[in-house]
Amino acid sequence: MKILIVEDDGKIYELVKEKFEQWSFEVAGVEDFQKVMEVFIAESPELVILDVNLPVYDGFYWCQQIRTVSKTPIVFLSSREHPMDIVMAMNVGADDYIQKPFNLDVLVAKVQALLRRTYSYGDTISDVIEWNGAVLDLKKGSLHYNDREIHLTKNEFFILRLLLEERGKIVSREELMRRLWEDEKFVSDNTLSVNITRIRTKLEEIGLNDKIVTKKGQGYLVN
Amino acid sequence: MWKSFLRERLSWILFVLLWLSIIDALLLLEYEIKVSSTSFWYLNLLTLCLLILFLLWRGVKERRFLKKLSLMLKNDAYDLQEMHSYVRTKADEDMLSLLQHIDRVYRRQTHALHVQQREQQEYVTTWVHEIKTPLTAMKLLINAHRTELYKWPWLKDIEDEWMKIDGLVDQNLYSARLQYLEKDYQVQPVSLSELVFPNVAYFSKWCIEKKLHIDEKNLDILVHTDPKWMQFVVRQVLSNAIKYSPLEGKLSFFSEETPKYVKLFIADQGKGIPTQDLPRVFEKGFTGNAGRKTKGATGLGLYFSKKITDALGHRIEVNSLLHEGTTVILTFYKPNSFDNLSKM
Repeated sequence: MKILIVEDDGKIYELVKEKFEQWSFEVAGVEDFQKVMEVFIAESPELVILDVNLPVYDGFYWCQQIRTVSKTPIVFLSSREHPMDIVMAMNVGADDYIQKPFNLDVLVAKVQALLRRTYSYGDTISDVIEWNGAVLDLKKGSLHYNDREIHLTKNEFFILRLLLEERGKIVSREELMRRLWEDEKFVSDNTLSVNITRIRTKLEEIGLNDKIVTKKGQGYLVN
Repeated sequence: MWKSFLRERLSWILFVLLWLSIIDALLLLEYEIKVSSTSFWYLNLLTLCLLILFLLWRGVKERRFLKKLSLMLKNDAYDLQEMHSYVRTKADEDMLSLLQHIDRVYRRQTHALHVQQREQQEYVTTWVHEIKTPLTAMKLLINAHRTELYKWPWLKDIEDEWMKIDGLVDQNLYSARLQYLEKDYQVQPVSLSELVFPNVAYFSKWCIEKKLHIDEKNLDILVHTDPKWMQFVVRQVLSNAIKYSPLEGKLSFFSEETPKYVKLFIADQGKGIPTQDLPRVFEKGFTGNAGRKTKGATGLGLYFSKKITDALGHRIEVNSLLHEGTTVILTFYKPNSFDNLSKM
């Protein structure tokens, strides 16, 4: 799956690109902002992320241009948060609108949802995370290993998925809490400990022992 | 009006009366002129009658313009051009052209001020939008390195500063928009949780650092409001609640619904506000004792909140017990509460 990112701020472009590449998307960018259409036609991406404030022409203009030739889903990135701007974006044919400052996880989630809706997905984007022979089903929120399946609660699934996404890195407890809270799950420190213990017990049930390592004073590590 | 008309013409009236008495004196004293007493009184009466009729005529004519003018100026949206059809005398015309001159000068000045103010407001809005791009880049950079925070301990402080900047930028944007608030809102059904949760998520860093416990009940209730403005209000309230909360304190969000209104309570367990300060918390620039000790209290958050809730037809109240905590209550009146009442 290829995504075209039309963003004139180099840093934001790099960070968004990195994130999508982590999720094994192919990413294309634009260098000359007079030639957005040329790049779009040459790359023929499955989805476009479009900034509103651009040099030469703005995002609304390019969205209209793209709409004359294609129905590719378009997500707007904008620092304008006035309802009129959102109405405007929808009028020129945008599929979604994300306000700056945004959260990369939210952006990825919205893009995935759009792709799912547009391209009767399944065969196109992976909806599972593979991990040492175990498979985390992102849709059902369950983990499969050796023909055995365990069901996870919302919070447990969220924590495990995060640890798997950050595989090989130590994730601090504070960061786990942050991610949970940013997803509007306002858990306490104790609840987090309880959740981790429960995930460990469940993993042991299907024979995945000691997979979540505690690094004292730093956080948790999954390999 | 008649009184002032007559007083103004007193010297003329006296002059006519004096002239009449000179003629009378001449008629009575001059030996060679012989007038019968009937003629004498006839002359006097006729002159006086003519004088009164003359005064009545002039009075009606000259006062007409002034009367119309004062009536018109009572309305703020007056139009001096219309006054031309009421001009009766040269004096009216002179007065009108002077008034029009002043009016033009004044209008030109206010127009210039309006243009200047709108330009300023547009500039602020554009500036806020422009600065959101580097702020976004900064936030994404911080987030990208947040996972392994133990390697970059100073990142926490940078993020704190980032949040302060972002908060101030938002305050700037909303204060610039405040004067157009009446024209710039869209009421729609919004659940209380939509107003509260994104803001708690926004402040997650501070809440987690303070180990705050979030207690929420009955936030699925819908209210009719503009989500953008009210989210801003809740953010101001929440920022205070977190700032003054003690370590491991509790932040409570709960609601109360009646046929007339929905109330949202936001309660902290902070130091509270002294009773003598309570009436002043919505004043511009008021920070109170606690605020003065904490850096970054601008005294604008609650001032803006009050203005916004008033304009949207909601209500904001602050209750507080010293050393126990503060509760902010937002009341959303139901749009059809009158209908509901009559059905009951």
